Amino acid sequence: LVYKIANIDPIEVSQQINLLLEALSDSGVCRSFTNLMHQSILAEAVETNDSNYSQNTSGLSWLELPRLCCQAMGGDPKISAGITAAWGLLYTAAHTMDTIEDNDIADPWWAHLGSAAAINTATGLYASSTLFLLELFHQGISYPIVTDILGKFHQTILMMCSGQHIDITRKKLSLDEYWQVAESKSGSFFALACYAGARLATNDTYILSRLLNFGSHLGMLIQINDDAKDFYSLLIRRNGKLNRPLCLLPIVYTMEVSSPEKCSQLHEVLEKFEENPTRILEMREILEHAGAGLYLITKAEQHRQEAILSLDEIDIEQTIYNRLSDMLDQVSLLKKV
Amino acid sequence: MGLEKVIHRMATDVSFSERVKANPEAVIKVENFDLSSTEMAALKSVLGKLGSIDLTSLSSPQLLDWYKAQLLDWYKGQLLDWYIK
Repeated sequence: LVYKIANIDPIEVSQQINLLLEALSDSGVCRSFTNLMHQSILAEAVETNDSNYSQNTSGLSWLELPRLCCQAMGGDPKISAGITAAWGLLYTAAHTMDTIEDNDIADPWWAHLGSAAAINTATGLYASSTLFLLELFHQGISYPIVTDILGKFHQTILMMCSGQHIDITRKKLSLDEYWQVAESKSGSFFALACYAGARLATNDTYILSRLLNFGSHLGMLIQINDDAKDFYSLLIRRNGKLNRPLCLLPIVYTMEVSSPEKCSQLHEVLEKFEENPTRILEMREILEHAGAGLYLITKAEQHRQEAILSLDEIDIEQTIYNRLSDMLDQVSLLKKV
Repeated sequence: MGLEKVIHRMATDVSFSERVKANPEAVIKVENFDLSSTEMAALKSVLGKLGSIDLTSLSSPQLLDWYKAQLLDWYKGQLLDWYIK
């Protein structure tokens, strides 16, 4: 299913996922658990493909990143299937943990089971991700390449955990801390997809660093989008639920630049927002008079430009360049000129 | 870091905003803001699209028109909702 979304032969994909799940069952993992993992992968694959980012494009999905980067280096797209699966499983596991840790609304596949079952499933997905990477040995990929990719996956997981630790142990982030956390959580994760796909076909450290950079800036753009969406949509719905608002970019920015009086006023509005959502107008005024909307637009533009620069520094086929740059356009806040 | 200070000042000081729009590099240098080259490039790109819009009046019809013309649909929808509601 993960591969299908990534435009890789769906039959081969289904077969591989099923083989993995059967192998897990054969090794003593109970059927109900493997079925749950299957459901979580399906849910996340659909979510990834149907998100706001990709609705108005030709079905682009982040899961295409490893394949595109492999192809960009002249590699056979088929050999990137295992990386795509491993990264997709990691995506699902990380998203699940993040949802629970942030106290967000449960995904339908685990809402009736509760967060304990979801954490357990996510742990299974992490393990499955590594199993997919180990399969690369059986596909003729050389030992140094597989160990490099395995190491990169696990270093990235550690980096993400470190960023998440800061995020969940602080009630408030400075602007500097916000960007560090975004880099650790989102930037590094999307950089991994690009690096791992390209690494299958090249060991040129300069090219790999450019693709890492591209992925990192794409991840930062996605993080800005997520924060903008979380913030604006929660306020528009006026459901009174803003989890840790002092860690969302529009608020973090406003707190960083505003006077102590304005910060106190914003604090008060946020604290009482659940009781009195009509104070949204007050909040809007504080944020926009600080220039929050313009700041988000400009930071998004900065990351888009830096990502494009990274692509421009390497020689890749035009059609792949266009696909990668289309991904940036999905998450840039400004329309393409 | 430094872009946030420039944008905040632009959103609160019309005269500064107009000066930055006219000649960003010179004003940033004179006022000693610490902007990286990529922040400067992004700022110039956004300012180029803003034209003569007054940034200190962020819910003006002029700015809403700019949002409608320049932003991606999903973001525009959310942002306009935010202004309208």
